[in-house]
Amino acid sequence: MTDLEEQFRTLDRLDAPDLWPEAQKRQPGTRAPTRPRHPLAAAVLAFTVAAAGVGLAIWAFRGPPPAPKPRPAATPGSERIAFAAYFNGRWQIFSVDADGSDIAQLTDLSTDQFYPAWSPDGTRIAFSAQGGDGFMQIWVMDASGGDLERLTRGRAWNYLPQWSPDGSRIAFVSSRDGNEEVFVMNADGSEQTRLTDDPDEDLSPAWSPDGDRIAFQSNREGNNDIYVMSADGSQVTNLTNTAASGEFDPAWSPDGTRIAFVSDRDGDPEIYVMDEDGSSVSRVTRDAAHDRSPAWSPDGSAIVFESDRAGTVGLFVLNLDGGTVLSLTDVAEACCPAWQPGVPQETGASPGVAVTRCTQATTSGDFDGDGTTDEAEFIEVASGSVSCDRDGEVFENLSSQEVLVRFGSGQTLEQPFTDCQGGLCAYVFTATDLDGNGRDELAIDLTSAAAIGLVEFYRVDPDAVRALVIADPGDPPFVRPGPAILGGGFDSGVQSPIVCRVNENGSRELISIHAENVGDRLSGPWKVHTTTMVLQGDRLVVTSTGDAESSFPETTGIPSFSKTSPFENGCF
Amino acid sequence: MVQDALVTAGGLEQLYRDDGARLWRALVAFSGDRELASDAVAEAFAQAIGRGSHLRDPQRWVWRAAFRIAAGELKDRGRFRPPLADPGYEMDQPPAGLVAGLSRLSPNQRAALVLHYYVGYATKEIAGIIGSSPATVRVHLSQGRKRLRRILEEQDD
Repeated sequence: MTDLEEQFRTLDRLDAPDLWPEAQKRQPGTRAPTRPRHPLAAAVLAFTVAAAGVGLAIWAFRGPPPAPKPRPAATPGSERIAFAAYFNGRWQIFSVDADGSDIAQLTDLSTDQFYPAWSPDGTRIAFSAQGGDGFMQIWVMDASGGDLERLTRGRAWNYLPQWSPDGSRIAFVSSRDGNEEVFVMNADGSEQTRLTDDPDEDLSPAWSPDGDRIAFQSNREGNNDIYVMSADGSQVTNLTNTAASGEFDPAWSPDGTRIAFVSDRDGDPEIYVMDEDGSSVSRVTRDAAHDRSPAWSPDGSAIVFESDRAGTVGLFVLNLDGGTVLSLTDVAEACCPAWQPGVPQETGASPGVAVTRCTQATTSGDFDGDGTTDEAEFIEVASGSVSCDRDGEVFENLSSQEVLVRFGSGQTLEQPFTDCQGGLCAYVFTATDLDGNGRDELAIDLTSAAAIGLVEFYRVDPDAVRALVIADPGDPPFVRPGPAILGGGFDSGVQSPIVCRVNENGSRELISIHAENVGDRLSGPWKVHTTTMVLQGDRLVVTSTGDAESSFPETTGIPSFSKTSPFENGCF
Repeated sequence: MVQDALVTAGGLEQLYRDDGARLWRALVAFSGDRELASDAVAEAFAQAIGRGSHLRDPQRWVWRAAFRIAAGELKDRGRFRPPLADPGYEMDQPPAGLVAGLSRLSPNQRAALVLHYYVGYATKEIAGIIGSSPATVRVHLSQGRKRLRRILEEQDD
């Protein structure tokens, strides 16, 4: 145990009050909501976007990207977006076309790399690399990841580089004097000069397009605000001047008239835009997630930013004209985007991202009800070239999961799947016809191998796999309204088998059994609560509930969840 | 995995029994204020109860909500740096020294250190809770660690 861990263990000596009674009776306040989005919603959105031909490919699910080809003559709008992404256990710099295609890994170093920044001619990228000593240093490379050159040294954090518009200098942040200050250096690393000097943190420098001024964030007046100064560090002005909220991550628009920034003034970090003098502030993103790190497209029509709105931190593109927000990288964890300015040069060859797609489970049924058999696969996508024969082991480098359906009609549906609990599914995968209408539903065990099953039910349409919904009021606390996730005992004494039953009159019922062992033997007695549901459209409607006390055979206990059969299924 | 099943099984109370005290202590370390920590924990669980089975990962959701509520409350009170120099503050030694030391760090450094060293979360999980990127969390952790060690050494002198 380290010294700090020992220090933190002393917190255990604090006597914590019992707040559960208060939580139960409290009406949740009017504070900013912190709702998580349903993971499937993000997946469906991403798929819809791709299917609609908008062209924002979800690269993580598309298998190995084609080897990047040299682009001799770039066309307007073909600029790339550089960013950092978590890949093979480390953060590395990547670039991708602004439509989400043609991903390329630019760095493959043994440490983490962050904060890429393009040179104004789009040929070089400065970035921050964590060294073995834990500090970050600024490096530059060409746009394809070659020609690496280190610009800063020393036992200090040197990071957040930003190129001056004429390409001759780089502004950056350094902690070399004890706290973060904005510095500037020549593009070759020479003449490193401090621009700001105060006891608090000055971060995130951003040049005005004319090169005369630098915007930055500082908490010198007690909370973070956006400031602007002359490029020599003089004439510092507070542009946002808000005492009650934090403002950070400034980014100057390419035409110099506006500054995008992040503010939590409305409860959670959102992207805002203001005029360069601090007037005419307007909010441009609206989501309860944290939106940060805005970067403008070269034509000023769009902003790429970082957000945890889909669960993990990823990149999104906001079209300022229409207000639409589209996912750029979807599942891969990514941060700190930078949009390539102007017309790009040839990128040359760069290594692609190798991924391996492994089919972990298959099932078949008639999902679309056309009388032909449809095949469904559950696929794991792992980073690198790996063997799919896991022998029960979990991929350390699992990057995403996907459902692939090949319909008998010839149509194929490929959809990201993000509902697995803790990122892993047990890969039990079954087709069943819950309502007897000739269309099979898909049941997927969402839990990892170590836990008792949570099964979620889905409707497979030709355009998307969508979760069925438990209709209001459900049967709380065991079957709650919302996505149809059933089962899930959480210790050996509580189990929740699911049974699908065809009655003599042909009607079909899904029965969720929640059983608690109230005896001291496996045979019970058990307190058993049943919830009976029927599927109407895409909604499971609770039709009856019951409580009973039961005993089960000593050898098996209550019928339990099995990995080969997620529920006793009479509905084939 | 076990926690993931809790809401379906009506087990938010179990989550509170398992995690409530730890969450409260983490928030005391973060905010330096028992009342604020109590308020954030009760509010986070009250919101979780209101959301019912819509919570897919109630444990992570509650931690994230509680830290965001606490951070918002600190800001609303206009003291993002908590008032731990207050001599009337009632806390037994030795946590008092640690919490006083944490109060001299930035809010994100405090949150990162508490979540890493007390709760055991990894960088990616901390980023999810405080709404930041893992890159930034690493900076917070490294700098916060360095500063906290120096502050604690000064306290010993």
